[in-house]
Amino acid sequence: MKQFSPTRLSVLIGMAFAASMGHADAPSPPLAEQAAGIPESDTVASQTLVPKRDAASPQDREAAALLTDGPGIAAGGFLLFPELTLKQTYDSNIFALPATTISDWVTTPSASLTGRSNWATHKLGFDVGIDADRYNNYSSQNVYDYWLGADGRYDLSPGNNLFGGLRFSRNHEDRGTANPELSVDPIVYYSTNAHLGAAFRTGPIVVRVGASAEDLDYLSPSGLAAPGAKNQDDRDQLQYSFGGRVGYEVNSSFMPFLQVASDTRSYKESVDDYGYQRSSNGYRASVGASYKLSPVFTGEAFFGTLSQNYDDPRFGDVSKPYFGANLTWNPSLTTRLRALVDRSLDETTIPGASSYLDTTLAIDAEHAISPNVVANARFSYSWNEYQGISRSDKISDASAGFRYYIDPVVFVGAEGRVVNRDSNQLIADYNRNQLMFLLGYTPGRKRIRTDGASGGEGLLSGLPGADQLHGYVTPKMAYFNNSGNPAYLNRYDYLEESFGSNAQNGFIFDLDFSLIYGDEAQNYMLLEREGFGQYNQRMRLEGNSQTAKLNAYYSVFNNALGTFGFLYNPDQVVGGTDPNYANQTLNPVGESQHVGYFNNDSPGTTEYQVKRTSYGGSVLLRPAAFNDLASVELGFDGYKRNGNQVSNYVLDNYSLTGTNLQKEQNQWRGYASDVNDQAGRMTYNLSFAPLEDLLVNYEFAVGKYQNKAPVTTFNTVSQWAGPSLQFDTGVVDLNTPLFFTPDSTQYSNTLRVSKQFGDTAAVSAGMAMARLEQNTFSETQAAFGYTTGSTDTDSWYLSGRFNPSQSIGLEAYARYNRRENNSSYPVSGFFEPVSTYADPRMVMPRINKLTNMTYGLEARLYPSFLKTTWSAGWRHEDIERDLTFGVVPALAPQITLYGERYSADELYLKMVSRPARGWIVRVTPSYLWASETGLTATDPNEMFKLKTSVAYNKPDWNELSITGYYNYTYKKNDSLSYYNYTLNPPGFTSPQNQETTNTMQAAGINMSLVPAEELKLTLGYDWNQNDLSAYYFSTNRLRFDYPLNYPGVPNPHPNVPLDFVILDQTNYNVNNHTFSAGVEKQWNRYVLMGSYSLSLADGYTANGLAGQQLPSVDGKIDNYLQSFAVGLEYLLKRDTSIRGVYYYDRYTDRTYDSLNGSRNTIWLGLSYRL
Amino acid sequence: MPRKWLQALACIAIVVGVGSVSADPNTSAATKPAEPKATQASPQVGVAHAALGASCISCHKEIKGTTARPEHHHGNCESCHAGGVGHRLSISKGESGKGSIANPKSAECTACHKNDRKLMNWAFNVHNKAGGTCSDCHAIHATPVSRNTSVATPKVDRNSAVCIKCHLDTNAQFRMRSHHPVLEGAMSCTGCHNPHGSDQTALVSRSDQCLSCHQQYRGPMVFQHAPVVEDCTSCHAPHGSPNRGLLSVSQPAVCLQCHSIAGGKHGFGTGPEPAPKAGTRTISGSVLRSCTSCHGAIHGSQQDPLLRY
Repeated sequence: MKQFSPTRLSVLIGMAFAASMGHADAPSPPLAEQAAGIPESDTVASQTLVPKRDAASPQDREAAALLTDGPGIAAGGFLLFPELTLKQTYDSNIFALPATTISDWVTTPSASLTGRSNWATHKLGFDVGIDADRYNNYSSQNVYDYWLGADGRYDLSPGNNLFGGLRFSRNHEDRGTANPELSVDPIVYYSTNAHLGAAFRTGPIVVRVGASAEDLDYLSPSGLAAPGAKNQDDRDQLQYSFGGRVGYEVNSSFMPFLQVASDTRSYKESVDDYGYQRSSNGYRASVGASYKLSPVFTGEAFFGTLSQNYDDPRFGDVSKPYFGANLTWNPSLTTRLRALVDRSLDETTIPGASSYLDTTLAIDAEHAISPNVVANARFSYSWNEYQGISRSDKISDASAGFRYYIDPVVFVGAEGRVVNRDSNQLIADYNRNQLMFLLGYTPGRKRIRTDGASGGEGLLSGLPGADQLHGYVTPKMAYFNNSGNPAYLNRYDYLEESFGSNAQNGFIFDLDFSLIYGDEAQNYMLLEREGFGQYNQRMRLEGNSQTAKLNAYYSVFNNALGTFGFLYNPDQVVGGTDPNYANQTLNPVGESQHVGYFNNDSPGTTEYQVKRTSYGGSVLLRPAAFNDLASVELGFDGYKRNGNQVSNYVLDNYSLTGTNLQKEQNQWRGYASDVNDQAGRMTYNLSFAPLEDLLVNYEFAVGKYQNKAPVTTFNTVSQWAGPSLQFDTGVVDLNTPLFFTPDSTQYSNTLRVSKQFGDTAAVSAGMAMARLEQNTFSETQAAFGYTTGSTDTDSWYLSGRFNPSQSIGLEAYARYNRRENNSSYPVSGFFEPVSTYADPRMVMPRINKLTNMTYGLEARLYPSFLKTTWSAGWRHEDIERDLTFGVVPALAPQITLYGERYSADELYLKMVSRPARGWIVRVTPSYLWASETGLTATDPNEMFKLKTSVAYNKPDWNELSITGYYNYTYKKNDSLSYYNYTLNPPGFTSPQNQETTNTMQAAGINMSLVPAEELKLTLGYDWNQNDLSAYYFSTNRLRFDYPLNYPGVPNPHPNVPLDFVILDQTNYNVNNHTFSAGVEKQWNRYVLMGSYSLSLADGYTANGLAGQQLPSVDGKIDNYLQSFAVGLEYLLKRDTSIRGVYYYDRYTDRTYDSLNGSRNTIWLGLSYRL
Repeated sequence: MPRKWLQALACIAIVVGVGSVSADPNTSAATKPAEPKATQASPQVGVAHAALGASCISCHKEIKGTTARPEHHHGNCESCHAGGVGHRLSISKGESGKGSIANPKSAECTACHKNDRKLMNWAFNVHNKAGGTCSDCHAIHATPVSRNTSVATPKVDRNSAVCIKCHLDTNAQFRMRSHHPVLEGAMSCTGCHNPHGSDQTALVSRSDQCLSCHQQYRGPMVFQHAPVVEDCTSCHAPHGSPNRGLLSVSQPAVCLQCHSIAGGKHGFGTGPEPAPKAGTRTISGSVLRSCTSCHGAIHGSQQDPLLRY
């Protein structure tokens, strides 16, 4: 066991190995430092024997100011060193295992405050902090540490003083320790440490005596792998030491000394769980010298003997050479080197071993490459020799990293670390790689330039208030209460109480803030957060300087997706599962009975929601960093989704066994499927400006999608359903997956070029290539040999603009996009153009390639005297589809509404006019016609659009702003038809056209008025209408089954043609009306706010024959959502206000009243402006 | 302390001018307008501009009093607002000074931001071609620090709040029964749209844009659904819709545009072979209400050609 007691570290060790992680003189961060052999003194005597380095010395101050330390924030008689850091670590082996390693990402926020007095006499210091490790996948490893300590020195006279200290901390053991406990949770222990001593000087003789004690209290974790190893209480112990040092100061540069100290380790349980008595007594005795060869070269070394005697007679006494040395060298103001040799005897719990002797050699280097960049590197090598057993470990730990100071006190950094433990017991070997990204705020650090001058130019120079924090902080709380069915409201505003899981009503506590820290040079760091409970929150970090910009974001949004849709599930709606179809008398035909029986394989699940967590960031090095020639940006965007959703499907009749009725009753099914996926995209972007007004940009991106939800197969469903559902294993593979979603990776390259020619012209061109690859395959895909899933996409564009005069503009462009399907095809038995009756059948064509070419011209005329801009343009679009249709049985081109070509032209006009002051009128009509169309939904053969808007703004004190708009779109496609399928047997003789018409209109008027001082009114009305009409076709058999000519299966009805009939021209017509009103009145210290909105939808989604068949909740839309809010804000003081807002939301569904629900919410907040 | 904060805020509020003022320790925000030497052609441009910067703030207290973006100091106000000398002359003569200052157009902004890759295609941008300027959306003098005090849209992000001021029809669609949660703060208009870009210069298809967030549908799918491959908006209205799932038109109408309803599995229909004439029996309402109740993998399937699972 390695005991980690920070107070026993020499100050130099602590600074050498903790400083790069942001703690100037604080415990090392929780990940693996101690395991990697960070040297520790085994007795508290070292802390009394080794005088603390005075960090306030001029040498230290100068060096520290340039490097990661700092001179501190002066506060009264103290120098303060606050620090906030956020670290993101990738750890390749979080459990430090020899094989089958497990990796994870760990997020570690950390906050600390260290203070040291700067008095002429006496010293007092304190140190407090907390950090927490949050694991991305292995949340059982989440742990937090904290510490609180103080120490001081009381000067009796020059050279004579009393010193002491007290520290309490909560720590955890890193996985890399030599601890055989394979616990599920990390092992946590508390440490209480106290020390007391005195120092005296008589002439050249310096004497220090002291005592220290540390109490260690271990907590037993919740679960362990090794039986009998759960109890950690047997490790609880008290360690104490008495010691002294006598030195003779030969001169100011050299002082030899003699030191001795006792070392007692008293376990509270006389015998540990393995039956060993681990208490011991010992001593350390050595001679050494401290030296200061120059102001930049200091150190100390000692040599002697250590001895430890154990209560357990099976443990032999340990008597070993004892030595140590440390060296600090600052060759320049920008460089600091430290080296260390240390030996200690540390406790262990390994049966048979009393302890292990740790000998460590470590070196550390820190160099300020520029005033903004500090690089560091460390290396340590440790030998751990276990006493009493044959085990011996060699541990190497190497790391290198940098910090970039966006601002003198704000930095980003990265560090890579490699740890290797090579043991003569293979089970103890491990390799561990870590990559850390760091963001920190150290206001105790001020930039000092390498020329020795201090910073201080810019906007705020010489002015009070510079280099301070501004912004808002608003703690707030809410009470919410749902009534009725909150399904709709939860979908977009999911609330759950902050402490607990009540989503019906409860209290929510949250904190908003928007803080900016700017310095004299206009660099700033912005941190903001907005939260509305744990399920709707977002945070943003932005750092900005002349040369660099940093962005990071994090957001969480939860919506009860499935709740709303789930309520429309077949078994949730009366009429949804039509009981008539369960009745064999009414429906003797047989096959259609499946729609009478819906099987819910997750009957106990009524809550469906998906939480989406989005995160990302980017670092941009601006052109100013590259002499205005280039910029580089590195970015990452990612999201995770967790939750569940409803999945419905139907099985083939032939895939089941049993009677027809039994099969019919089991075909239609649904279940709650897990949602657990994540995606991440890394982007590398380089911009280069080789010439004036010429910009070249290249971007490479890699995006990975991973689906971590368990795969549901026929076998899974069979287990859920029980004996009522029997698959025909002679026909189907039970490993057939349901809704299999594979992992995938997308690579893309993009190159863009743009050139401006003053105000006269501009040219822009770009091209891109992307590849999407499927990374995982289902068992059935692999079994059939479907091993490649891949699409390639190529795009390019060319745009040009030319202004022959100030009043005339010409523009031309072309854009191309090609998508090619390079997935495996054909795959025998899985996906092929010729198939048997059993699946697969080519029910749709394979889209091999999709090519889109668009080009156009536009001319603009904008004579200034007319105050009107006219534009006329023409656009042409061609779509080519390379399709592979199957051979019978399959969907043939003639009986599909999917063609291979689309070709259309569009003419448009744009007018923007400013007829009078404050008025803007825009009118944009356009007309499109197509010579060929290929897909009903996307290829209109005729389209007319009109967009109009009128706006008036009166920017006087009685401000008035009115905007009105009207948009109209009419689309028609009547050129797609089902036509004669001439192969044997003959198809129908008269082709049937599909005729779709779609009219969409939108209009609105919105007004904002300031009728009186400090009174603002808003009023608005918007209307949307969508009117779609399309034929409702029926056929006498499934189109891909026609002409029912399966290989090897004789066609029983060769002369029965495929029969299409237009049953109805179903009409969809839905209107949406939105009314909104708002008021804001300010008087004295009060601001009164109110708003009301009503969104009303009504119409029919199907009428005629289809409408007659639909259940009552379908076929019609009739609902409205009301939101009412009233709020009051009172300015308590100049920088403090209190605000309360009451919200009432109600959703009313007049066709499906089970969805009716309402919510009352009241928010209270106290806003403080910094 | 509060006074110091206010002074600091006021200094940050100075967008331009005082940055170079700092070169001259005498020209703080609190000084009076510079002496006439600043109005004459001075060989020391920095000093003259510095003096000018202080002059602007002494009158335009609304700028001084607000918290300005600390990075937009640009040396002096005149780097964006041309005509400062004439403006001061006008005022010093007792005139109003109106019209003597040029408010910056987009060209002034792009003159400095010319190497910003996000503005590469600004020349072809629809906002630009519609006569919009940078200041229509960007509050140059304002601080990035903000507090949303709207009770009507308390959760919308700051970018989207700017967009919906003009795009009122889209704002109305966000209030429909099914919509992308922009007003709820879950996403931003800029998550899908590039306000500085152009359709002409887009290198991704419309579907690719949607699939960047909805990657579970990205595939590549074995069994594809044509409108999904071609364009998500062929079935979905991305801003808002009265129908579930952002469908522009509800089921079954959206599906019936391309699909016929045959017998057999789809209810009464016209039955299996030997088949009477199509349309002789009615179709089940259970089938018509939601095609996706059975065809659950409507966006494409890795397994089933009928897109059921």
